[in-house]
Amino acid sequence: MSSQRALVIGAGQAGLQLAESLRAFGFEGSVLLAGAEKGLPYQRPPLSKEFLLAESVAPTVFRSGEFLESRGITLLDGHRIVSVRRDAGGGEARDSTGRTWAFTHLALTTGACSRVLDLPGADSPAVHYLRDLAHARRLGNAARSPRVRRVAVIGGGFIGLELAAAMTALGKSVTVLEVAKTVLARAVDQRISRYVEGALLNRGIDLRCGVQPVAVLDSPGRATEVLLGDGTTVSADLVVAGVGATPRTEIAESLGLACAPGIVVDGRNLASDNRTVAAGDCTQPERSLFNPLGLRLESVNNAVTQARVGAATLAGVEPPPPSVPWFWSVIGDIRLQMAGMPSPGATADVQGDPLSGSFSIVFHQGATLVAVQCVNDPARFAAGRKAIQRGSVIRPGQKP
Amino acid sequence: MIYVQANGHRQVTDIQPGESVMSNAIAHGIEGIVGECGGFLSCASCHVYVVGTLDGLPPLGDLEDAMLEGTAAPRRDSSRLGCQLFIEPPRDGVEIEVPPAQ
Repeated sequence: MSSQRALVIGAGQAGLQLAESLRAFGFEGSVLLAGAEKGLPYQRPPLSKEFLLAESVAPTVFRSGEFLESRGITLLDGHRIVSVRRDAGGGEARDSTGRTWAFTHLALTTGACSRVLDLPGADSPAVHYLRDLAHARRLGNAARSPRVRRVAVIGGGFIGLELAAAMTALGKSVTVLEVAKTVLARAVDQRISRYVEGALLNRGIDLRCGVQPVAVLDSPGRATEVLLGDGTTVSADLVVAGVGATPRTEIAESLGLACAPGIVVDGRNLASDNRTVAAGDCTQPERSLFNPLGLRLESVNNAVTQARVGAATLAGVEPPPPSVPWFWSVIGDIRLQMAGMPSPGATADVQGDPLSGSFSIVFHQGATLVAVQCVNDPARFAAGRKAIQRGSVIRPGQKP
Repeated sequence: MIYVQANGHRQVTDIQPGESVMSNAIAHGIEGIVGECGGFLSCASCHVYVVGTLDGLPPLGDLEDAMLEGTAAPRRDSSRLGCQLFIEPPRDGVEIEVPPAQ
């Protein structure tokens, strides 16, 4: 019987994957998976999509309790870890009830939280965010009320636009407020931004780019208003903000781990103390073959990939080979699939016809395909992802 | 459902009405069926080979057809994405071969 005990703090997608991968990589000690929320780990991506449309309040869970038990994974759900102490043999974590959990191996999969609007009046109860199941339930309940007719979405990123589409499907009158000149400005090629904007306008969404929300005005008996920098206001019965996420690093910082702003990890997902691993939305990765700028990635694929690497590191086995990061978003009936990371000097060409509603932007660095961004174009996505993986793996040291 | 791994290992599960083969495989921890995107037809990591007849299965959709072009293991005539595969009504003995890679 092994005296080793791994503690995984954070029971989202990365935490669950890390716990499972520890087993898959032969870790023989006990595995504790601690999460602040009650219940089994669940999938987050549906929360901004079909979950909001349905009356059903059951989340999509990954694994049954029996499955976790069969793998020797002890789920400590409803246990928020509030402090961690390290010593030579491992350490001890304390949860919010004061109970302590000793460990020999530590993984941080603490995720991220919604960035909060830094505006006067933003603490109004009419302002919603979306990160976890409780948020989604509250937002869904509010949005399905027939008294809510007008919705203002602050932020034209993936979450904001997914929410805008869902609210439109619920019959709401939706206004999207985006600071940048286009939606999805930092995420995709501007030709895709333009296509998405056209599609949203066709659905009757009032899209306002280049506007700066400066306050939320809330007075009893009246609709909430979002005041914009030009002095105009947007009235809404419900406001939802999707303005980015902040990595949760309280525990990492208390342990003295480098954070910038996510927990800085190396290619083995080791934090700066060289023994704690971290994975998922809470991390800041280093520059690597498939992420040459070392950008912080918030995606299912990144959570799963980093968790596998982190688990291999803790289990003392060779990590899986690097893989191409990929992302997806479903905005109403627009399916966006992206693979690879466009580098600043890459060329970006259109394949397919944007007017047909199915096209892709392909990015080349020299002759090498480095990224694809696909709109309703799954065949190019699938082929592109494979080609990026192949090309970049064979390239170093191979004959041309 | 019967899941057969490349090494011949077999696992038998019960599938519920409305449950896709991908969800069923994930819930029962079938190795080699990943379902990374959660059933949004975005990742092709729930690629499976159906053993025996394809009769009575939902028809292959255009998006599914396109995503199957990008699977890690070779596509065969029996290839499907588990997230699009619903066995209605649920019945015993439907056999799924798990590809060697996703």
